[in-house]
Amino acid sequence: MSLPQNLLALCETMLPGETQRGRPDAATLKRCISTAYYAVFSLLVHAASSMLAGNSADRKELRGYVARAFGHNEMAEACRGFSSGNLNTGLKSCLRSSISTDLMDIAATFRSLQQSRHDADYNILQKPKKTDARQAIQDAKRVFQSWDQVKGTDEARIFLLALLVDEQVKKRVNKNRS
Amino acid sequence: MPARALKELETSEIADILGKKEWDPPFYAIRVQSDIDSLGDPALWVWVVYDVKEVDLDAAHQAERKIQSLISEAGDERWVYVRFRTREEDTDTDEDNDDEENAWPDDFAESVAGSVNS
Repeated sequence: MSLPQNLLALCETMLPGETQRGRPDAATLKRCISTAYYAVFSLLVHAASSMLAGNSADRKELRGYVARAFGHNEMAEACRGFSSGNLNTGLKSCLRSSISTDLMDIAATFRSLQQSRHDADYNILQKPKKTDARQAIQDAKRVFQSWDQVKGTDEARIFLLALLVDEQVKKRVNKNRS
Repeated sequence: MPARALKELETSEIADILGKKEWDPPFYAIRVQSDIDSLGDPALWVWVVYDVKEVDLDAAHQAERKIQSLISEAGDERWVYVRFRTREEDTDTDEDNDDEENAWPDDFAESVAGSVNS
C-alpha cells in the first residue's frame, strides 16, 4: 500500500469497532483526526508531485523535491474556489466545463479536515469526541473514493496545479493591482 | 488592495434559517458560532446534535452540504464548518470527562519552564 492508503488504514485501526464499548481517550481521538487529514494531504501531494515530476522510479528524488513545495494553508486557500465552483477568472478560463461534484466535495472536505486537524493538534482546550474522529475518517475515505473518480481528468490536473500555484498567482495579481 | 469584506449574517439569523427546515433524521439541537479559522478567515461553526446513540455519518454528510448551501444562499459568504454530536457527547462536559491521563498537568508550565522565582 502507498503512504496515503497506509495512513487511512492506520486511523481506522485507532477507533474501537462499532460494536465495541468504551470511549477512546483524547490522545487517541486527536491522533486519529490528525492522521485522517494527513492521509488526504498525502494523497493530493503524491498525485500532484507525480503529475509534475513524473511517475518513473528515476524521478523519485524529483517527486520528493516537488512535494516539499506544497503548503497546508496555500492548499486550503486554493480549495475555497473549487469547493464552491466560484473560481477566479484565470482558473475559470482554464476549465472547459463546470467543476464536478466529486471535485467540489474533495476541495470542501480538505479544508474542513484541515481545520479539524488544527483543532486536534493545537487547541489544548478542545476535547474531541468519538463522532469527530468517526467523521474525520469517513470524510477521508470519501475523498479517496472521489479522487478515484476524477483522477486523470482535466479538472483534476488543474486542481492539483492550483494547489501549488493559485496563492502565488493571486498574490502577484493583487500586488500588480495595488 | 484591501480584502473585500465578507457579507455576514447574525448567528441567530442563521440558526433560525436552519431551524425552520425539516431534517431527516431530525436535529435535537443546533448551535451556530462565529470565529476566525486556522487560515485567519472569518468562519462559522454549526454544531448539530442528534438524539441517537451513534451519528449516521452518511445522513450527517448530506445535512452538512445542505447547511452550507442554505447559508450560502442566504448571502453569508463565510466558510462553514459543520460538526456533529450525540446528545451524550454534547452534555459530556469537561468536568465530567476529566481524562487525567490526557489532560495538561496543573504544574505543566512550571515543569517545562521552571518556577519564575527559582
